[in-house]
Amino acid sequence: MRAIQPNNSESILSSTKDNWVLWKTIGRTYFTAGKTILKRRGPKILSDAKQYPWITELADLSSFFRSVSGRSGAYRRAILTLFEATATNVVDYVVDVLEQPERVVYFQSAGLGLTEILKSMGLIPYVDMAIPVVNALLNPPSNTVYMDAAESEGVSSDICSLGRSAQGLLFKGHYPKASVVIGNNGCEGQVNSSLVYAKKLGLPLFILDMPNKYNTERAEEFFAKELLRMIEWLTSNTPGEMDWNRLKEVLDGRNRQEEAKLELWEMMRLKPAPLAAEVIFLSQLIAPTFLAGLPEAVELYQSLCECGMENIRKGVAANPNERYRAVVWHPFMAVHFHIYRYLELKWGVSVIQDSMSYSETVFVDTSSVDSMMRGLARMMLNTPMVNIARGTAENYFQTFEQIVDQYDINLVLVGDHIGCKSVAAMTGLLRDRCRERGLPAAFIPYDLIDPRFASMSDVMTRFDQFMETVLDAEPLMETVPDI
Amino acid sequence: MPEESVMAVFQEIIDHTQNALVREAMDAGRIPIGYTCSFVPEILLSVDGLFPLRLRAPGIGGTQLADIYLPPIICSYCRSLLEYGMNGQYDFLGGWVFNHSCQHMNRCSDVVKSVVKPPFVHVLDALHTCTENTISWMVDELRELKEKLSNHFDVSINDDTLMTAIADHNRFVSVIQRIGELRKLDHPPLTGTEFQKVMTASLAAPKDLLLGRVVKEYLDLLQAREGVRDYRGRLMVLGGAMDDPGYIEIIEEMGGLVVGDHFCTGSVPGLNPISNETLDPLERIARHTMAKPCPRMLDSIDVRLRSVMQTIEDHRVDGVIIQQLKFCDSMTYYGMAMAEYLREAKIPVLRLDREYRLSGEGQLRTRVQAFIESMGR
Repeated sequence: MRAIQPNNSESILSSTKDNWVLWKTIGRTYFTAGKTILKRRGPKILSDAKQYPWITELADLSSFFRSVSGRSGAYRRAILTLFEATATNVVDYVVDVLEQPERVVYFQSAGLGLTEILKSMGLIPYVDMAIPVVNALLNPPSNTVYMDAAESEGVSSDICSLGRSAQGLLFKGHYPKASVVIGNNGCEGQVNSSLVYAKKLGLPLFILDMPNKYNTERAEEFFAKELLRMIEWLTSNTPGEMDWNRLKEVLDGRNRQEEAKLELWEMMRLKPAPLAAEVIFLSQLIAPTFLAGLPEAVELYQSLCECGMENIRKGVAANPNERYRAVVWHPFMAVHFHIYRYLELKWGVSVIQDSMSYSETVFVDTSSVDSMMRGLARMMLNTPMVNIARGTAENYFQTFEQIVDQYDINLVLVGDHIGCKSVAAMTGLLRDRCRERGLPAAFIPYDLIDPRFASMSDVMTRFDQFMETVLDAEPLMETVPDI
Repeated sequence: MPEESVMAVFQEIIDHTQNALVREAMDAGRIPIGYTCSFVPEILLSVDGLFPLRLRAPGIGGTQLADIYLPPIICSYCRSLLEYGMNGQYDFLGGWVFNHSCQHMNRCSDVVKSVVKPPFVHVLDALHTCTENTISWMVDELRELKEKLSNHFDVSINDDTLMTAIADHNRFVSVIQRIGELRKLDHPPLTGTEFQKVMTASLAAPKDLLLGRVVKEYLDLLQAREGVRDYRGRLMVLGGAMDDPGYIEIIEEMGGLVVGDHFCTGSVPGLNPISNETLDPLERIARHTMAKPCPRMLDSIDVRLRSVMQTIEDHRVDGVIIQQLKFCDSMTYYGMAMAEYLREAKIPVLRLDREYRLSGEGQLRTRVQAFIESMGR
């Protein structure tokens, strides 16, 4: 693979071709989503929207499509591919959940691995945080009503806003019906909330217990037993039944998905990078959550890789003015995700990797039930959320060093999400580690979901001050279009 | 010893981490090991010259040093311990044993390891459900801790020394339970504040010395005392760890009499005898520990509720105060669920947020007073 040369001839202003790609994607997205809704829900969608008002919020995709402004060529196409996949898969997901409530299983963390198990049992996974995350991406203030509802019911305002939003949906009765609850979050603060879910919904609860010492053989063996115990419990408490052949197929698909993901990540090591920002974190949000183990997941990564290869062949960078290669440490800024475009265009900062996307790649040996359970256990115990919220500082910094070294990172953007206590408690040690390595680190206080804590303007100002005072950088442009 | 002197001994122990009994034990060559959670079994820290001290930060004024690493949204208990550690106030300890009680404490242990650098640090990984699988995990955890303690301190921890420690523990528990039983009386001879002082002292000094010197004597004094009559309502306090009897004192100053508790530094979940069900001492300790109905345990809210309801009935409790450290995620949801169950059972409930260091007394008084009045007392 030859190195990409920076190519400043690529205009940040959209070309006719770029605009055509945008409008074509918008049309196709609405057509596909509309067709699914009409075919599977028909007029019932009107009563659905009345009962679950967040459905209406999902219809406005303008925030997605506005964010490609200033991005061109294959990079723009890659981002649009992801927006289209997000929108259409969320619609499929919501319709699935509404159609067969007796098969819906609530769980808490976009569980790499859990989705595969549930689907192989003929059950429908419902991640409680999916709707708040999508809401935050599309219309940041839309979650505030749910956060307020949770606080009115007694949830402390210092609890992670993602959890509070999900719980607010519950308290307002905007949760779709389900059959059981699984407490599986890597974040212990949130797994505790499953007590409230089960009580409020009157549903059976299963706690999937995760060791803190998660990256050991002993932990894998323990957790594999927990998974088997969960499957047995689900068999007793839901209409689902495990189809081991189906699980094998899903996990084989999952292995292919991981190969395709690694190919994409490998491209990101090039300087300057052929793709960046949303391509990394949205692909890791969509594929494991909605498409786990399906051929569509592989196709998604392949189409992203094709965009990357096109840029490589042409010698075009995602960010023609790449000056800094950044890792976003801690949660990506869902509520202000346009900040990544802002950083690219104004400061030449390309986000190359982020800690909530990056994890050890696990290929599951599908030769036996035992090996599948061990592989799933390893996969689930090595998810980013577990790495961030559990285990020791040594594990946490091992991941940090890996990303910095593998991707030749020269800037750390710390998304200092105010609701995450585990993150907050690591900032001191992280600051020390960055100083030891001579890495500039911008600690930006914000809230993952709640725009009231720090507005987009606040976040931009903090970055501007950091770039000007700490890095002594000159802006590439004064104002960024469509922000 | 006169009554005032007995209570003064308890107070001295509570006020000073290096109190007279700790100094006496250290002078005799014994090594104090600090621990943070009731899921760290004291038994393992009570053998062959070791003795356990629950980590506390009495009289702490602020957490200026700790705040560099643990910001204000981290629970003030963790920040206070770190402050004590960074100030060198725990340099007399032979080591620190943490449990992964919650993510706050987990990160506190990371910072202690990196910044305070005690000579011995171990983090136990007690899980959050009680099943055969998690008990087996806990046995392995205890075995690892046992080996590390043996190697580092060159002490002999074997089945015999563990059985002796279990017997000592059960003896101590039986005395405390006798004191606790007195709280069921219409006019108990002790207040909740006094009981909490005894409990806190038992965590802050070697139990053998405490038992021999003051606890038995205190029990004798109680037998001869008149009961407390001037109270407006019988209360129970539940929630997270609380080692400052000052909070109970404020509740009682407002006319409540705290006759029952359900938090790990109190009597119900923290102090039960260890059974004789199995022969392997580590398994006995693991089963005993994992069965504790603590808010960090996620599969036992029914057990906790039954235990709370039983205490309410036995101690004839009129109202329940659920207290929690501000920013505690576990207690937020435990408190919500428990309050809802209790209200369904028509039991008056007050939820209180507090800091580790006794503060906000005025607000606390007002809320407790209003609560007692709302109970029609």
